[in-house]
Amino acid sequence: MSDDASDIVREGLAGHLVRLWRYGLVLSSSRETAEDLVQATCVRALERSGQFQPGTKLDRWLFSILNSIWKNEIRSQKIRQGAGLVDAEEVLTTDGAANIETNILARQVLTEVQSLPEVQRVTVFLVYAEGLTYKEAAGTLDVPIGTIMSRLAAARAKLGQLNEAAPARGKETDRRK
Amino acid sequence: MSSWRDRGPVTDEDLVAYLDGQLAGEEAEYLEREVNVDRALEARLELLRGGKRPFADAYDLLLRDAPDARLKQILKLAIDPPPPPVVELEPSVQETARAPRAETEPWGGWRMLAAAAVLLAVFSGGLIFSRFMNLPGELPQVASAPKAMGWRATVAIYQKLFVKETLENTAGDAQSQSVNLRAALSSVGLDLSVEKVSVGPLQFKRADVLNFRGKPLVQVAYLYNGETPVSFCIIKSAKPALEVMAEQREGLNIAHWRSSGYGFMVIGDVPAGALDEIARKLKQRLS
Repeated sequence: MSDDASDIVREGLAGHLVRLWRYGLVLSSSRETAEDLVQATCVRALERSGQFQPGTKLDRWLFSILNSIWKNEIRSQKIRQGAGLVDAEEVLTTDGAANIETNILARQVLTEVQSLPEVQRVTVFLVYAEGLTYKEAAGTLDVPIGTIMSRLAAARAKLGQLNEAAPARGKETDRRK
Repeated sequence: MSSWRDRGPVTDEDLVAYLDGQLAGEEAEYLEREVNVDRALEARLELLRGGKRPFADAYDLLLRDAPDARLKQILKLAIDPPPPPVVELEPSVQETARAPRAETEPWGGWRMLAAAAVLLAVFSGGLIFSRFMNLPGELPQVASAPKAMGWRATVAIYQKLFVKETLENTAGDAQSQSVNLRAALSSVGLDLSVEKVSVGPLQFKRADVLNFRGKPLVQVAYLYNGETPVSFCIIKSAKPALEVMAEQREGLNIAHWRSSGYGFMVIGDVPAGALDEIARKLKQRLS
């Protein structure tokens, strides 16, 4: 049983690296820290692979590990070092002129979301970008479902107000996928 | 009937749950009825509806930017960490053993002793040192928290003291440089030539053995383009391998990595890109 679990983790990790990195980036706003988080998550997940329950979603499990490493080990250290939350625009600026040309709306959305408090931003990311259910997000962030709901409500109220301030904004875009 | 309905007025949380399709039929119907008879609630619903964005598309932009190859490498090293002692010894260790150090130190004598005393004090007492420096923005350190500073933080504070003049008069001939380097590296079980550790615009100046919490820490000091002090530091480390990472401490750029049972760092007031390149070359030469 736990051998199965270990195999699933070992073989499944590769397929989630990029999304783990993105989650690390959303949490830390730092590319280097995002890589550190992926590294620590891989090591921890392999160590504890016997605890993974086959049949459940591996990515959710990995997200929880990454989140707890961030919350318990890295975040406070960053803040203590004064190396914490850097300028969002800088971090979220993608390389390559083509991206800049074709993704103005997407970049604008990222900038808006980045202006939210960290807990709201992370909740929005997990629920609306990663597609976690409220319950899954609550499990990943280790908070009650009610907290997830109030963070989403606060975030959407804030973004809705931004809309009213700039009523001409286009709200929809065609999905690429 | 439903529990949330009995809690009182419809909240933003209810409205967002409704917009997200999280409410079951009966609850959704109730909420729709409320919205229909309450203009303020309707306005609130529209405000929250307007707070939706193409979040998934926006965040997909970041996926395209992910350092794919490095992440794979990170996973590979996590699954299969290389065994600790891998760096090969070059044949001339014996030369080092034979060479009497006092005679071959290019900057020997009291200056060396004084420098060593200062260095040992700094490294063994990094905490005390940082308190002494009273760095702006740092919380006062408590004496009972000896693990507060890692080796990179300690090196950064020390490196910050280096200026061009610290290193420009330490030039020795090639042979004494070689003896100096090999003697220092032997403390951590490595043997590398001056050529091997001199990459890009780095000019080797000297190597020292320092003490960080009872462990030898080797500092190879260079001038970058003949101007800026840069150090390449090595310490034994049991931590898992790590790809080259960038960070900043004390206003200095750092590129650090771990492999083969060692922690490595290159530090100096030079652009992060240049340091990264130097670190990668060193890493390659050491593997």
